[in-house]
Amino acid sequence: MNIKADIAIVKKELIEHKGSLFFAPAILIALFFVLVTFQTLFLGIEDFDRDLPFHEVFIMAFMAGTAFFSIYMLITLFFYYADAFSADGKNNGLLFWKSLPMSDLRILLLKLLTGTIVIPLIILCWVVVSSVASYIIGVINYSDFVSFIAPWTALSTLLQLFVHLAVVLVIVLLWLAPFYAWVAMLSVFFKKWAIALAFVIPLVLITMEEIFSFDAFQSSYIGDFIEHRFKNIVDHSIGTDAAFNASMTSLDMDFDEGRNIHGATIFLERLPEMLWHFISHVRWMSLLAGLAVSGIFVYIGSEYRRRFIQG
Amino acid sequence: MVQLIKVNGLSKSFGKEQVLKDISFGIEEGKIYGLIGHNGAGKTTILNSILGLIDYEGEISVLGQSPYDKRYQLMEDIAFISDVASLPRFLKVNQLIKMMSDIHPKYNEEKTHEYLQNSNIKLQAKIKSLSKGMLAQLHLALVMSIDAKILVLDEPTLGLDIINRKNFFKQLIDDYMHDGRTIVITTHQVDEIEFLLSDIMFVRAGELILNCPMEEISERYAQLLTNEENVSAARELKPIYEDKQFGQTMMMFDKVDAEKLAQYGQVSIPNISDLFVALMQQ
Repeated sequence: MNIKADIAIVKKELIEHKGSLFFAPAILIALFFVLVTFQTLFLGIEDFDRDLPFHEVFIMAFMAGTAFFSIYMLITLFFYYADAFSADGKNNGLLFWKSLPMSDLRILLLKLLTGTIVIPLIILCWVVVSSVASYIIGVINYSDFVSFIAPWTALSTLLQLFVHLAVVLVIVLLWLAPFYAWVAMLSVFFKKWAIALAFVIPLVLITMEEIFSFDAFQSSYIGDFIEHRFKNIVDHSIGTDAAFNASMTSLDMDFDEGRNIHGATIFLERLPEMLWHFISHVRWMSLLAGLAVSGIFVYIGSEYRRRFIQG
Repeated sequence: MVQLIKVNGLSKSFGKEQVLKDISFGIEEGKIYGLIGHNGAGKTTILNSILGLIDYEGEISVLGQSPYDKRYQLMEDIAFISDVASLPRFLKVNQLIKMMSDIHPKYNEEKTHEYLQNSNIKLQAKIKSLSKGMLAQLHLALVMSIDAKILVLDEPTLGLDIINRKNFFKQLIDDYMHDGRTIVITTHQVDEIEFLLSDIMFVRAGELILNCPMEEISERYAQLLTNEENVSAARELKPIYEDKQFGQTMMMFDKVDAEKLAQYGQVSIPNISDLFVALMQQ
C-alpha cells in the first residue's frame, strides 16, 4: 500500500479540476465581497436591522453559504464524475497512466474517494472562507451599527459548524455515491455522452417497464426505487422522536422570541444532539448496499479501462 | 543469456481481422531490439500485448509474469513510451516530476533534473505549452529516470522533425545506453536507429518475417549491383528482391555465397532500409 502514490493521484485530480474547485469559488466570494461593499458605500444601508444579534447573523451567513455551496457542490460533483473517469484518456493520455505501476481499479477508486470526500471538504472550506469574508465585510461596513462578536468566538462557531456539517455532508455524499458512480461508469464507456445517458437510460428502463407491464397507470418499480433511494436517507421514525422534537421546539422559541445572542449559543450547543439524531436515523444498511453498488459500478468501469486503451 | 520476454504463438484479432498470426520470439537481457514494419503491420499490437495493455491469444511471459494479468505490477520494472504527446497537459513539469516520484518506487527524481538541466524545458512550464520536441525530451527524461529492467519505445519520434529525432536518440545513447539495458523500439525511421540495434525484427501483415542479431544480417544477406548482361545469370541464384537503379539492376540475396555473386557485379552488405523494402515486397 503506497499512501504517497494515492495522495499523488488525489492531488493530480485536484489540479486537473482546479478551475471549479479553487478559481470559481474564489471569484464568487470576491464578487460577493465587492457587491456588498459597493452596496454599502454607494447605495446605503437604510434597511439594515440594527437590532439583529450578530452571532445569529453570522450563523445564518454560514448557513446561507452552505446552501449556496451545497448546490454548487452537487453540480460540480455531477460534472466531475461525468468527466473524471474518462479524462485520463484525453490526448491518448491513458497510455501514460498505464505506464505507471497502479491498477486501473485503484485509480478509479481514488477518483471516487476524491469526489466523495475530498472535493466536498474543499467546498466546505469555501463555506468557511465565505463566512470569514462575511465577518470581515460586517466589521468593515457595519461596525458603526452592530456590536460584533469577538474573532475567536467567530472562529470557534465556525469550527463547530464546520465539523458537524462535514460529518453530515460526508454521510449524504456516501448516500449519493451510487448515483455519482453510475455517471462515472457511463463516462468510461460513453465519455461526454454520460451526462445525458445518466438520465436517459433509467427513463428508457422505466418506459419499457410501463410498456411491458401492460398497465400504464401502475407506478414503475424502477422509478419508485430510484425516487425512494434518492430521497430517503433517514428512516421514517425520525419525525416521531418526541424528546428530540420538544427540544427543537424550544430551540425555535429561543430563536424566534429571544432575538438575542443566546439563541446562537443554544443552537451551537444543540448541534451535537441534532447530529446524533441524524446519524441514529440514517438507513445505514441501505447506505452500505449503495456503496457496494458503487463499488460494482467502479469495478465495471475499471475492467473496461483495463481492457481498452482508446482514449 | 536470460530471456526477459518470451512470446509463444501470439495471435490477435480485432473483429474478423487477424492482425497478429502466431508470432513467437524472445527478448534477451542487455540487448536492443528494433521492431520494424509498415503502418498496420502489427508492431504496436505486439508491444501492447507485451505491455499487458490488450488481451491476446497465445502465451507471453514478461519477467516471468503474464503481462495482461499483472500489468501494473510489471510497470515497476518496465518503462515505456507509446506516444510522447500523452503526458498530462494540465500539469506543470515540476508537478509531473513530483507525481512520478510519489507514484513510482523505482523513479529517481534527481536523474530527471540532471537530464533536463541542459534542455530548454523550464520546471515551472505547463506541459501543454511545450513543443512536441520538448515533450519527447521530457518524456524520455522521465522514463530514463526509472530503474527499469526493460524500456519499450513505440514510435517515440513520430511527428518530430529531424533535429528533434536526432536529439532524442542522442539523449537515449548518451544517458541510457549503459549497464546492459534491454530496449525494444519500433520506428518508421529505420536508418536512424540502425546503428544502435543489437537485434532486428521485421513484421509484415501480422507475421514475424525476420528475427536475428544485426551481425547475422551481414552474414546472411548480400546486395548485388549488376548490369544487363549478367542479370539472367544472377537470377539463377534466386534473388529475394530485384530493382532497377540508374540503369543497373540491384538484387538482394538470402544465404547466397558472396564470392559466387561477385562474378556478376558489385557485392555489398545491404543496409537495413534496403533489406526492409526487399523483405516487405517479397
